[in-house]
Amino acid sequence: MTRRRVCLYSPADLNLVSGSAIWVQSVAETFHAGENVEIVLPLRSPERRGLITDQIRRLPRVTLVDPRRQRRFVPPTGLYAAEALDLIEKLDREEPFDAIVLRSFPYCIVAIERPAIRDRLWSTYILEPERDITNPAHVAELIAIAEVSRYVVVQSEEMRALFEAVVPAGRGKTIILPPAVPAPGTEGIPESLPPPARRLFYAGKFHPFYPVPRMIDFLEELRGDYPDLEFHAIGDQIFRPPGGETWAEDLERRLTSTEGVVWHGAVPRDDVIRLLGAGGIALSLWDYGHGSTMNDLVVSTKLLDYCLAGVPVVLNRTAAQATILGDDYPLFVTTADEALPLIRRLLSDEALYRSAAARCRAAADAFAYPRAWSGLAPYLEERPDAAAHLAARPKLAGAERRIGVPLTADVTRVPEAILSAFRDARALVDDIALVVGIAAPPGSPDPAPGRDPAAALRVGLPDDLGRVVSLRTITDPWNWWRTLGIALAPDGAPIDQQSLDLGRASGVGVATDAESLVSALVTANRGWTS
Amino acid sequence: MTDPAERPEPGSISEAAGRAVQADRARVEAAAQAARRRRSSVAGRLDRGLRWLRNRQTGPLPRLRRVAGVLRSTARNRDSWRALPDALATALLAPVRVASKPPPPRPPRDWSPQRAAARDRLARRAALLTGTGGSRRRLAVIADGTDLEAWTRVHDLVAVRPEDWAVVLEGGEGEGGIHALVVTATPAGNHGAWAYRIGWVAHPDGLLQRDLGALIRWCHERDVPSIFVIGQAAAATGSSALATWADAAALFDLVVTSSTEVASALERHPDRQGSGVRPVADARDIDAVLAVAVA
Repeated sequence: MTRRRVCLYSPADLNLVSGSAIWVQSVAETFHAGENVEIVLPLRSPERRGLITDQIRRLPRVTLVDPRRQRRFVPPTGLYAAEALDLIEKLDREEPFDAIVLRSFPYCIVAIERPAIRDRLWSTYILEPERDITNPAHVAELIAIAEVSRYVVVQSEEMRALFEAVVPAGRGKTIILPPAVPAPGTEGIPESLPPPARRLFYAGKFHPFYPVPRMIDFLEELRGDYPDLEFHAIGDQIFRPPGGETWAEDLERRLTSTEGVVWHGAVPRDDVIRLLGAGGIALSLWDYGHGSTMNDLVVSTKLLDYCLAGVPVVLNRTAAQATILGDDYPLFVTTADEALPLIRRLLSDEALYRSAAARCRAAADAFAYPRAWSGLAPYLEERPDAAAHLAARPKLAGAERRIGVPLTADVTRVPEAILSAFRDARALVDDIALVVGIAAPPGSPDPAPGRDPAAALRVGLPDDLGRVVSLRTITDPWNWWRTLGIALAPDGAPIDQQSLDLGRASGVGVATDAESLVSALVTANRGWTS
Repeated sequence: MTDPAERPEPGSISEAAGRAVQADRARVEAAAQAARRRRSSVAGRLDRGLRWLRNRQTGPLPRLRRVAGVLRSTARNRDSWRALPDALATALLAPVRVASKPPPPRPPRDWSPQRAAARDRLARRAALLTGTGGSRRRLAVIADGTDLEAWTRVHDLVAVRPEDWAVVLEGGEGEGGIHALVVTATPAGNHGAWAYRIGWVAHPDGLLQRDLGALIRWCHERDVPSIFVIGQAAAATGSSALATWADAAALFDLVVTSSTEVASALERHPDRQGSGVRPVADARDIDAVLAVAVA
């Protein structure tokens, strides 16, 4: 198999333990799960501590590059974007990369101006919660990045949906690279779950978005009933909000002087998981007063670490977290204050503790390094099935009862064969809908709301079917098929083959007449959708 | 600091806040004048020139240093000379585009003008919506099959569709147009036509509510009030219901619901653009919904 060379660069300072720094380790391990992948990881700042870099060094096919190769005296803030890209270009000239995975919007916007590397650019996590996606100037920059990059990389299906909604140019080239964790049973992680213990955990940076002071309040309140309860805080990166000087000082004071609080400071990721492995309750609470709701679409590295350790996690209900743990996970909260009664219940209800912990551990399996690598391999290895892989997206709930027909752009009416097959199937299976799509050239703009030219086909629709037939111009076939469970393509009908192929790759069954349509509906309704 | 131009006019919030805004504007203006004076002085100009020359992202001096670096590394590493022109061009010209820092978090927007407009719209249409002598109202609706069937017996409904609602509603304007837009919290309204376009779902069709938002804007521009109905079934899923419907509900002039829990949560929604949330005993009874809307 061909050897692949990947450059991975993130502006995170790996001397500090933060979610972004852990992410670098996680992505290096993910690529390293590919047997023929060699990873080159230029550092933003010279190494001062080995908390994260020592973990990365264990991987034999990862090379760390000192930033002083680019600049003799690197300032404390590390290399600037232009300097980091100069270094990447220099390394690329020495031995070309197959992919340059570059994290963060400011770096990617600079990188697309560099003809020497931009054709291999994987622009990663460029949709940043701090930036305003309703600002047309920012959207124009995102479009510029999407148009030039080889791939745009996001961390969850939810984030892909948002990116493709905001940046149509990203459709069909946006791939998913979630943060990942080792598989249970490997790298010293026991397969069994830790026993219940009277400990609360928080690991990560200290920022008002994560209400750690409120977590300490919980500890103080609960110690009345559970005097041996402890709160273990892990991390040493304390954000100093502008105008909120006392916030950091108060937090440090409480972390160091509150009875029952154990502040571990910065700890390598493996040790975090080992600490969590002693059992307890992990807290992943957010305060939206200090951060964007776009965080709802983010897969948190710390959540995966908690899950891997097999401890129950009390956390905010967000779209991405509900997808990971299931909508009915019992420890979701809407606000941080709702966490206290849940923690109290967990401390007294062992059955709830164990069932929630098992649920979390099961969720971590989906993010094991080999699984995450298998999602990336088709793109890095440039396999012929990469396009099919891009189309294979989870179906939306209810899609199994929706039938799609992708017609060619030149049709003037819905063919009778399609209507007749649908009418016959509807007589047997109630509550199904027909969605007729008209193929549009790639890159076509979305039609104006309420004025889709495809609606012209309604004129020829019979009265009995008109209300259950939707008409639509297909400007985004990848997401169009997510809403559909079955394709209907009778022989001889003017079907757009390219769209149909994408449908097949997305996993829809293709019916050609009423009989096969009913059969496909029965199969689809056996519960393959999410 | 908030851009003074974006701040609400005094009076739209309160008098005290208005005075604070005026004082703040005066301070910002004084600071801007001082900065202008500093910039136009000789020392200021010299300082700007030096900073431009030395700018590490775009200035000429760092670019020249980068060119020297490319030549040095090419000679030392015996790199391909063919790549040299490209590398030199890059060192000289890139980056021409530098991302600005993200702006500071915006303060919550003041929606009071929109809320007042929603109240006015509902008040102006009160007589039309409640009707007299049992007259039928013309309603643009998005609802499930059961509601459509029940409501069509008492009112004239236009079951709008995402692909042609603008054309259909504009076509009906000659006959007096519609009296209100009524949308229910249903996952596949109007026989599946609005599936994935109203409630929160991780799909480009639904995430930014382009279709629903455009429909509501169209109605408001024509002084047609918009009402969102959250029935018992939709509200029964608790916090999940809120996560699904809250963003859509925030766009409407009024939300009517049979769940007190949902009502109080939606009332607190920071981006609520409508006049408020009102309880109704039976959300499936369209006349009860219309009566509550204008009460």
